[in-house]
Amino acid sequence: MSQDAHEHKQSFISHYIFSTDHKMIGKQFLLLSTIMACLGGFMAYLIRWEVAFPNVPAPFFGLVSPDKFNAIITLHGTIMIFFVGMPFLSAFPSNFFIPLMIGARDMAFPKLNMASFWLTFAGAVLLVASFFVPGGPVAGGWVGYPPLSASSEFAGVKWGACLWLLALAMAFFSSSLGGLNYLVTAITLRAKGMTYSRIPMTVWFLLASAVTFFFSVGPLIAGDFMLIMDNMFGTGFFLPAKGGEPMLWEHLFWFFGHPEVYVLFFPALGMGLDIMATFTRKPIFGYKLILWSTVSAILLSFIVWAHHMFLSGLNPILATPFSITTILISIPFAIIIFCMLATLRHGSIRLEVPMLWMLGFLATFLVGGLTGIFLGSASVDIYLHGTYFVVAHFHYTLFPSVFFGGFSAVYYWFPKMYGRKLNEKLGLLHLALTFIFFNGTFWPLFRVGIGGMIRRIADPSFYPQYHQFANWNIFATICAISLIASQSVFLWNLVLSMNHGPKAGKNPYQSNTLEWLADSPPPHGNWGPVLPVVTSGPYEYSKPGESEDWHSQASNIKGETVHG
Amino acid sequence: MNSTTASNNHTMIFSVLVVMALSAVGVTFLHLPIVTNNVAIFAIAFVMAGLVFFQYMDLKSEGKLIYWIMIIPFILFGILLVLFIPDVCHFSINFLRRFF
Amino acid sequence: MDKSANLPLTPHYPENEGPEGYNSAPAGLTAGRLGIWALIASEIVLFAGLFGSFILMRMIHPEWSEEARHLNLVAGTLNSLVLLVSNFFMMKASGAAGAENNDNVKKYLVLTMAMGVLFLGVKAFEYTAEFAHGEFPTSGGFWSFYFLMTGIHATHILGGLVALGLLLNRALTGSMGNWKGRVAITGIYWSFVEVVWIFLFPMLYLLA
Repeated sequence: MSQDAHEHKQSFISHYIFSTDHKMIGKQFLLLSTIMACLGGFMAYLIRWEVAFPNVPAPFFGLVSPDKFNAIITLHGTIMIFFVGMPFLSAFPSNFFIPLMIGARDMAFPKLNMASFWLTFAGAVLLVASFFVPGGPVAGGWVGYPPLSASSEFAGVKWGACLWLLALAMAFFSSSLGGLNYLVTAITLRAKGMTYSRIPMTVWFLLASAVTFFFSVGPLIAGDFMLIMDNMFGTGFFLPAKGGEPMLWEHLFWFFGHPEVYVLFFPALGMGLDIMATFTRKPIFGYKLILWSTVSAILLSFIVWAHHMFLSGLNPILATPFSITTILISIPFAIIIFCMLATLRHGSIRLEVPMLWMLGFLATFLVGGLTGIFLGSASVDIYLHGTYFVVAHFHYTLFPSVFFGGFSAVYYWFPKMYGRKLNEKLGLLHLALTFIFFNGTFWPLFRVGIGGMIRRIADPSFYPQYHQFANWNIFATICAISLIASQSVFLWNLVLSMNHGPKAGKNPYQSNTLEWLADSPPPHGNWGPVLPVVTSGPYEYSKPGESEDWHSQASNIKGETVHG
Repeated sequence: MNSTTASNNHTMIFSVLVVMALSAVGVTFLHLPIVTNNVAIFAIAFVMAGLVFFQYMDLKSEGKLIYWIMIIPFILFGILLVLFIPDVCHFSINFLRRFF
Repeated sequence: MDKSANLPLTPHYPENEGPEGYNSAPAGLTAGRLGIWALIASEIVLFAGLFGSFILMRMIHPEWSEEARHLNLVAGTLNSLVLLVSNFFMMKASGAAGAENNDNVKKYLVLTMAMGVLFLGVKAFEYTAEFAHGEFPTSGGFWSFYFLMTGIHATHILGGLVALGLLLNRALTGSMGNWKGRVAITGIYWSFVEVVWIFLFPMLYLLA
């Protein structure tokens, strides 16, 4: 049929390194985020070690002196959000699953797609390079508030700060160009018959995440250039001494910052809804209700950002409107979570590994969501701002989205990506360990935060009022170390089953969406000669009067009926 | 619209834009009070931008989707200004105090 | 020598399908057009951040209007007209590409690029004049914003010139082929760069 149906011989370079195949780029993002997760995880271990055992040399690293500590927390935050969260949750599933789930052969702009991976890779290289630069890596906190981050006379770091800012700029360009590519692909390359109401929830939420990102990143790119000029050329955008305004950076940063946390949260919701529909053998509750809640959440997310700045000299008049909008935005997300719970009701739930991970996500995220409401109202935030309560809150929202949501997606789609299933027992062990140690690490931080312990302090033993939290911190550190150690179970499972796992057919979980009609792993062009023609919605599970309890979306391609 | 009407349409629009650009500069030589001067300049700028967006980019023939994609950034620009200014500008605080 | 012989042969696809899949775009909308609109939307928010910060700082520092007097108003106005003219030629080029009149496409693309280069030339002249008077990005808030905003705008013009160069290179091979739609898309991008200058010029030069 068409010229590219035959597998033209690709050299190693064009097949693996400079590939424009959306599946290969998805795997490249997965690999990059895994490597950066190891780096970020090592830093997390150093932070927890220093907080629990101050001035005791940490194994594998040595003494974590206060200035090293500042650099490590800055890099931990930046790496985990921009080089683990964005690639693992927004770039990898979008690249791999948007074309497959809407019945396309590839992205709308394949070369742009490849460029967006290499921009993130360049950003990661720049960030790692900033370790070895004179003056060391950046130490201004991942938020980089000026005047500390605006000139080297305060933070003692000039080249490291500039490299950090350039790495951020690279990550922003990559994610916004990628997001643009996902939007155009989803709108212009849907299979015949795939109307807007037949698009699976994963694709909808990946689009919501992409659109939220590239509409909110503009001001921060502007702020990024301003901060680079402040650091390198000595201009005074954010330096009060030179007539600048430090609050301007905080506005520009958090105008992007808050939509960014929803950008990380949306993919986990979307994939969670699809996984729940598959494993409860039941259509999801309120398809349109969830979509409109997402739209209202996106619009609200642009007018909430100043709740990060209640204590940084924000005009008190503004504290009230931003508290109101912050409390308001919890309503759309509550609706989505309730729709998830309603999907579980009366479902014949198959407690397989992806479903258990998703239930883990639901459980832990609720804690994060509810503590957000405390921090959202100005009156409480005045006491809790800058304490470990905030640290525990955002770990209870980011960790479930990136790790519980991300791992449930990996366990669910691993058969489709590699043709083999991950080992069940190792998966359950990994889930049990991660769930226990994650809660063990961050639950005490709520207690420590309410007690008033300020975050980003290298040596808490120096302050007598924090001696009461020493035991909590030691307990949290032990759980953190075992949490990081238990991730090796997943890495072992990944390597083991990539080549030796049980063979998985096209549709091991008997799911409806289109990607389960392609071979696993799907060949170049995904569908072979004939593109699927969609005849039904993605959630036609246990329709009355049907022998099978699932009904694949496209009828013109013969999927597998028997359990793989 | 076929090519002939398109070409003289472009020239007509082009001349209107040139006139408006020069008039914007002319306004500054009138030494009007500050607020009227700035408002006049930005009014001209908005009209010129609207002309370019709607005419040169033949926005008229675009789908409803494009309207939405183009409206959102301007709304965000408004949000940025409305919620930026009262925080950092002292003169606007007493202006705002009358409402709270 | 006709170089269009070595253009990639477009394989035969069934009805309404392309190399990437089935075309489900709404009528009259292509992937490229939607892509450029989305890019412009995210760029507008970028300039919104820049302009918002400038307006904010301009309200805090009324003394910046004295420093704005040092700007060369004639050069600024000339640049506005240059961009209007280049936009006019760009529209002619996309019209000619639509009508598959390759000679006109080449002529108008060259004229558009000439105007773009002229704009950058006038800008460079202004910068050197300002450096000569000792006005650098570090000499005060107004100048840092001035150089930042005009610098980012000039970079966008450079990007546009690169795209126009690629189009011209393709036009010189004899026929635009399936790149016909891309001239109109670059036209939209070029008009966006024009709109940014329409706001940038009064904000820097004309504010009282």
